Amino acid sequence: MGPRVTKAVVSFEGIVKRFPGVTALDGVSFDVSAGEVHALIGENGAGKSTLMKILAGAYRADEGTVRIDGHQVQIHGPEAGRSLGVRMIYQELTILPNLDVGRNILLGREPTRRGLVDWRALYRQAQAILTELGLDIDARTMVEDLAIGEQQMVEIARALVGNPKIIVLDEPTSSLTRSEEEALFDLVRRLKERGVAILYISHRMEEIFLLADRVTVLRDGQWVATKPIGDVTEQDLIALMVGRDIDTSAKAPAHDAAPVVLEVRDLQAGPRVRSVSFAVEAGEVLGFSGLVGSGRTETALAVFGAEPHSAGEILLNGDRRTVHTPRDAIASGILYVPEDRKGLGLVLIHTVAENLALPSLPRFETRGLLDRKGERRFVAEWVEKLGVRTPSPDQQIEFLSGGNQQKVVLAKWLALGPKVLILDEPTRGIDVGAKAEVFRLIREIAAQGVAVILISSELPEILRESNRIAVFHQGRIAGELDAEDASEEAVMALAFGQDRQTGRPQMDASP
Amino acid sequence: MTDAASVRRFISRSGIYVAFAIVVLVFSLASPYFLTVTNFLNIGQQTSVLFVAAFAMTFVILSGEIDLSIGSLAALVGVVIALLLTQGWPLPLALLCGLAVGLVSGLISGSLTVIGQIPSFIVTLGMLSALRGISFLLTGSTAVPIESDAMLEIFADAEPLGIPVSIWFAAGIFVVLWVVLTRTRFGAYVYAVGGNAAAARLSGVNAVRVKIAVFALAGLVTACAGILLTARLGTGLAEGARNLELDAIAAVVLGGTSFAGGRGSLGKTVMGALLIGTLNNGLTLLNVSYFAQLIIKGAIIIAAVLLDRWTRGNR
Repeated sequence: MGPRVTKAVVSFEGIVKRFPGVTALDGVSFDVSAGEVHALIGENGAGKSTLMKILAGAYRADEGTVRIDGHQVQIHGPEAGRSLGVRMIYQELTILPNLDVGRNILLGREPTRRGLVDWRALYRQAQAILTELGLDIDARTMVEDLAIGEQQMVEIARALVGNPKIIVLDEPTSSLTRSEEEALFDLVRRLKERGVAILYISHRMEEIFLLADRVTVLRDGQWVATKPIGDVTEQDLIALMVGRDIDTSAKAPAHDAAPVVLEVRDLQAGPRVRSVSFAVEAGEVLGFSGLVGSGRTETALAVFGAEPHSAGEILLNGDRRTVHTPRDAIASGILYVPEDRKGLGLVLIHTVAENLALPSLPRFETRGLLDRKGERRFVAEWVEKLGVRTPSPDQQIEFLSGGNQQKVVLAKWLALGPKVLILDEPTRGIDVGAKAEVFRLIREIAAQGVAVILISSELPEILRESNRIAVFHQGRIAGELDAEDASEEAVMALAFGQDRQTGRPQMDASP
Repeated sequence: MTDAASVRRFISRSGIYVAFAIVVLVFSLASPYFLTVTNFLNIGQQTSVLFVAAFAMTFVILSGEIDLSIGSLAALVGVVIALLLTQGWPLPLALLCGLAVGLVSGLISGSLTVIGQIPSFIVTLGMLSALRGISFLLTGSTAVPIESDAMLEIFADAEPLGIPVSIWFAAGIFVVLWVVLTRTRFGAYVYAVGGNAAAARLSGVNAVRVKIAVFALAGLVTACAGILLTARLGTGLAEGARNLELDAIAAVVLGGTSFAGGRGSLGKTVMGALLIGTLNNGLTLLNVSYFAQLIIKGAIIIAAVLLDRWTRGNR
């Protein structure tokens, strides 16, 4: 696929953007050609989103020029960006669930006849766009009735109204299932054939190598490199992003047999967890793999008491435990780090200290009053221990990077002395350098004898970090693999319900 | 840094104090009677009921909920106490019953909100109507005089150290609630549940119990406001304390407590209530008509929140 010699649709020339105290962008220059998928990568804070906001018209550059089709442009506000052919598709969907697909696609651009909305024309135009994208979606379907992946497609369909020259996709696959991802990639390729320039922002190396023609790396607001994708390896890109070599290939240390800490027998919970049994030993990392919706997360939530279970036993060190609420689980030393860090893991509007101390408050209580000084010492100690980078414990946690937020979540549980730690997608939305640090922490936690359960959608991650992998398929564990003889293919085969020996799809006993 | 930016930062940190200072300055220039110790004790006395009601509201709003029944409940508590006293009940027992009415009402609102999963706006809107109705039913809409000189003396007329007793009560309630909010586990949980109930639950906080407790506490504190009000009026009035909940919400919001929950403080509410009380007092001193007062108060509340947005949004 190499780079095509076509003229630049968008070029950035020496873009500088300063905020009080920081230079977010410092002389960034590169261009994106028509019909090119151009990946833009960098750690959080590297300046990707600032640059995109300048392109979208949300910010204005302090220095430098943006050219579209060779003309120098001033983009004041999102409408201006739109009329110049710039379309942004953000991680969070911006379509309205309470309207139907057609009204969403043409929102703000409804065709009119004599001042009234021409509904028939609206649905016809919307349907035409959907068909053009090869999407089998009826324009009159309510958006809330669509799967997340389809909603994403509608979001992209909306970007095609008018005459888009460049479409920016910001982490578009973060909430998609595997098959939805495939559909998205197809769509991106089709857009590319139409000659649209695509700026693709992603943390996932696999997709970048799959889709991109060229890749630009930013680090600390500075342009580092723009290269044809064929000229670089994953290791190269990571080194360029971080500015140093990070070894992401070393496997987790082997685990020697130890007593079982947590055993779950025939757990049933809701429609997604039909019958799940497993055991984790002290110091072991058990990986939970499987497709989204296969019951991994739902099992974790049930074991943690966040969702009720209808049957099954939970044994801790051989004793049956009653777990009906997270409080019960926490009292037993079973702790859970949720996937949705911002929505469920943290109180974003509160400080680092408040978040970190929340589950530990009972220990600072004497005669009904809290020992605030002791609490502060405790917070300082844990911030130090896990190396949380924050200007002060009183910093609002919303303003910390994803990696540092996750360290606070880990610290708040480690302070309780966990017996079982369940981590659900612990590195989602965290940049490469911080990922390595989070995994170093997880290895340390396991080394101290905690039984760890690691849920992850990223196969290389789970293969590298687990001692054993339980693969979920339709509410059951389809099979367990030892880390030594596990491969991506073996895990995927189980996840898709294929029998390992025969390679044929497994018959599902229950409806 | 430009001066405009630092002014803005100063106002954003202490906007309510600035607003208060401006109001005091304007009234001092306009009326020679305004800036006197007597008048400020007056303001304190007139505002004490609002202070206490606004403290109750602060807890509820911090926990991410709202309680619209505060005015109706305060009136009902007064009516119940006045009626029991006419029946010849001893004062302590009558007061205890009044407090119990507050507690039970709060428990009902809290349980319906949390366990019944009905938005507290709806639940307490219903309670606002129902409690008011009960008051009218109990009194036949006639004023019930307080037949206890002790009650009038203890809760309204006494002036220990020359300061009206209602101010002492408001201050005492403030201190107790401040300790609860800032120095107890329950207080920390109120903030956590208001900031993100789901995250608090996953951190082991019993969010259901915390929210019900908040409503119960608010009911109890509202009952205290009802007692102060009834003692000052000298009668149990079914139509008393009308719109008290709205003034309380205004005081909380003026103080800068987030309407979404999880952020704010009791100290800020004191300033908010004081601003409203001072406005009431100053406008009356200046002989501004009651109707014009309502308009001016409304405008100032909206302006204060706008100012807050403006200073906050640009950081």
